[in-house]
Amino acid sequence: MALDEQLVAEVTRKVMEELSRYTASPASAPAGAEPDSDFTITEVGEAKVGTSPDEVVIGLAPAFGDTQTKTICGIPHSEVLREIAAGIEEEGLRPRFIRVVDISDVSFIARRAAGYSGSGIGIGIQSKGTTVIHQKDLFPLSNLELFPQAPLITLEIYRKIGKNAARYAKGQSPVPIETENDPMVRPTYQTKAAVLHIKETQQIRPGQKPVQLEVKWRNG
Amino acid sequence: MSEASENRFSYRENKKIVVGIDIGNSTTEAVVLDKTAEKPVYLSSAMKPTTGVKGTLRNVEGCIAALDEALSAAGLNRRDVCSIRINQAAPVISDLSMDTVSETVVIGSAMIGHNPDTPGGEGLAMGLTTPVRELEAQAGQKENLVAIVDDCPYYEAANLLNRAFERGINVVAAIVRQDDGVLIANRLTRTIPIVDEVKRIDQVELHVPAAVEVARNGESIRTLSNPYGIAGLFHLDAQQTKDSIPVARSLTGCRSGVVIRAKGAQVKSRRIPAGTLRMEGERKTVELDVNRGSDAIMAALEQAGRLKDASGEEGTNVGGLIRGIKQTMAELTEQPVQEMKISDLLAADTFAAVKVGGALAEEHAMENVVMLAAMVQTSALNMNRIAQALERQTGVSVTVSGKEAEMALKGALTTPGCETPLAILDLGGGSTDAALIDETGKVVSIHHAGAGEMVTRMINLELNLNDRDTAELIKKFPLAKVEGLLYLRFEDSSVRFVTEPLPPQYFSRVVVVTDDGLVPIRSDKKLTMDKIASVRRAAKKKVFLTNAQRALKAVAPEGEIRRIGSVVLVGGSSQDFEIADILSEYLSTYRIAAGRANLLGFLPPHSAVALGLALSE
Repeated sequence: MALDEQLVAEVTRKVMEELSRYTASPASAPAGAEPDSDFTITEVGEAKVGTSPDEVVIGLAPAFGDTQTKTICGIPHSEVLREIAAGIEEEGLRPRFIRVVDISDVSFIARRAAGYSGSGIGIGIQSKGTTVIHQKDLFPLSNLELFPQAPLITLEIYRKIGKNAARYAKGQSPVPIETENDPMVRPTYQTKAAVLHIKETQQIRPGQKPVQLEVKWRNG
Repeated sequence: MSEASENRFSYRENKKIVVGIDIGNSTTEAVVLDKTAEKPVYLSSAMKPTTGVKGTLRNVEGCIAALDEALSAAGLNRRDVCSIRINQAAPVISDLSMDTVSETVVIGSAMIGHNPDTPGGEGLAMGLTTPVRELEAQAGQKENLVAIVDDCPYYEAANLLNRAFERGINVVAAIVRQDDGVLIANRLTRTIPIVDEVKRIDQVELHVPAAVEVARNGESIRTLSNPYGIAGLFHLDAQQTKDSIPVARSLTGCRSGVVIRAKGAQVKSRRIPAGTLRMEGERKTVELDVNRGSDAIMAALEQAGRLKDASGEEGTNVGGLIRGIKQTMAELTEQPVQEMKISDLLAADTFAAVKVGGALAEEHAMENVVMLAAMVQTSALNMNRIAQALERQTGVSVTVSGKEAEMALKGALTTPGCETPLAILDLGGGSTDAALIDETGKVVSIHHAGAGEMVTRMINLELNLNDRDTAELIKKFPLAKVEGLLYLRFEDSSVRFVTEPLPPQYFSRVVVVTDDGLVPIRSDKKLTMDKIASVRRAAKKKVFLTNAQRALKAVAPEGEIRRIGSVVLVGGSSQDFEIADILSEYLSTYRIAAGRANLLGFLPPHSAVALGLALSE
């Protein structure tokens, strides 16, 4: 098959068209997961390296909850963060949010979050939903737990991710979270994932340090 | 074997090279000795896995592998060997079985031993169960114990409860379906005990009295785990208090608990009829109910004397268990089932986590299990067939020489510091054997059912691993916890640092420190290092200590263990990192020197039989 620029442009146009239709229809989002209108993410200056051992730092990718507001399968970012934070809190620890602004690779974001975390445990999350639990002594491309198939991650799994990260921080031995593996996810979502990632990468602010965030929901 | 064949071989420089090969249940060992001079000289040894079941022709393959490896280590080949000796295997094989003998059932809307990881708040409270959405309507009710179901997220539940507090509605405690206990508690203006993860909360009866208790971190609840505590709260009479014992027992040691008193609700713990066991001994025949537990079985066995046979009541668990063992043995030895006679039994009490029928939060109860190891006496295993096959394939004369126990003694006696009278304890995989040699050279020996394999099964069951390989590793090697990616903390709380970071999948896990590296233990049962270690030690004591006592008593002069001079441990399980210490500690109370064999001053104890064979004339 001949791949010329015209064809690529045509495919991209079709995908964008499909995407805008998709985001416009709230019916595709899971029930009870309407975006929280009172959900706010505020940048409050440069993030500091934490010292308290009871925190887990969640590192958001450059576009998360900002220019993008839903994961690849339509879960609102507000709900994703709420569940991860709830998982951490239920285990008796405190979540802290930062935004990693100079890179869009999820492994590096997670590793950066772990480095800023007083417990040494961090979670990295991309706008499309891909998530990694990381530890500060690991190499960036290594990880404690990786959730690569964003379309298969549900809110229950985001809650468990928060719980497991907190358990690692407490020195317990959590059983890695079971997730589904669907070989059709790749072909089905590949183009969409690529577009979302490109859009995320466009938000990169090169050379800037991670930013401390204040995340608020309507119901606390 | 025959004179004619022995003459065909030429021996290197007129040396007399002898190889002893011991075919064991799991490994085959070869020891090469140079017996030219009066004092034999050790040349080499090798250990290979046993091929096929012990006593069958497939063993030859393993023998040859061990032989060749040992010979090449000594720079020899098969032509240099003057003769090979293999062991006359003890005609006993053992097998294991087990059965659950107790059962807990929940009838109606009661709850037992529910212990979520993260309950919220703290304290003890009692009230009538009320759904959270109906709180407004219950403003007049004295004490409300709120049930929060799925459709109410934690922030909403917290808001509803806070509003109820403001309006003066008395909410004393809450039970939640989701894992939201801490989240709700953190958002409340008052502290109330909250128990979460009540999976079948929709089945909780409404408007009935219930009590919730949550203890502080690191403590366990006190009132609901006490039958009189429950009686006081619910105003029970003496009979009802008695009925509440299983509820209280199931909450013992928990951090939180819920007790609901619905009409007709009950928790029952009952014994499952497991059948009677009939033991025909030399002294008398004893019958008893397996339900009475391992101590009663072992006491009855001692009364019966040396076993002639045992059988279980037909149509019951124990009946099937014993028949199964005999069947396996019959197939193995290619002999009719009728000839299979049980020659020894070892019973041990253990427990297993079993899901409780009718429970509201998918609770498990630790049910009692009786584990039985049985041993079958067969007519001699056909070792001559193996000897002939080995002779054909190697071209070296092969003899079957001596009983296993005598050979092991002969080997063990080479341990520096040993002299007759000497007893050996052969701790194997399937059986624990003992033999005693007195000053005159007379040998007494005995075989008992139950050894390493039983320990593995017990660890697997009690830790609820469902993974025999992991259980085997836990049995064999010490534990450590990967506290950071650069260091490990061991069972004895010593710390080792590593230069290369450990793989991330080991992080924060309890690992088994094997010779080939670390193996993480994967289990969702929140197993701590201490828990695993204590189960492991208890299992070893239940099997090896019991069997060592029985075996030594059987071979000791007039049954007095004190009169045995010294005890040497041989066999695969003697190399275990702690069994030798457990046994030495016990035997030191009898002032008996006990320890692992140190053959010829340098060989490990598992080669005792092979060495004895090579040494024998």
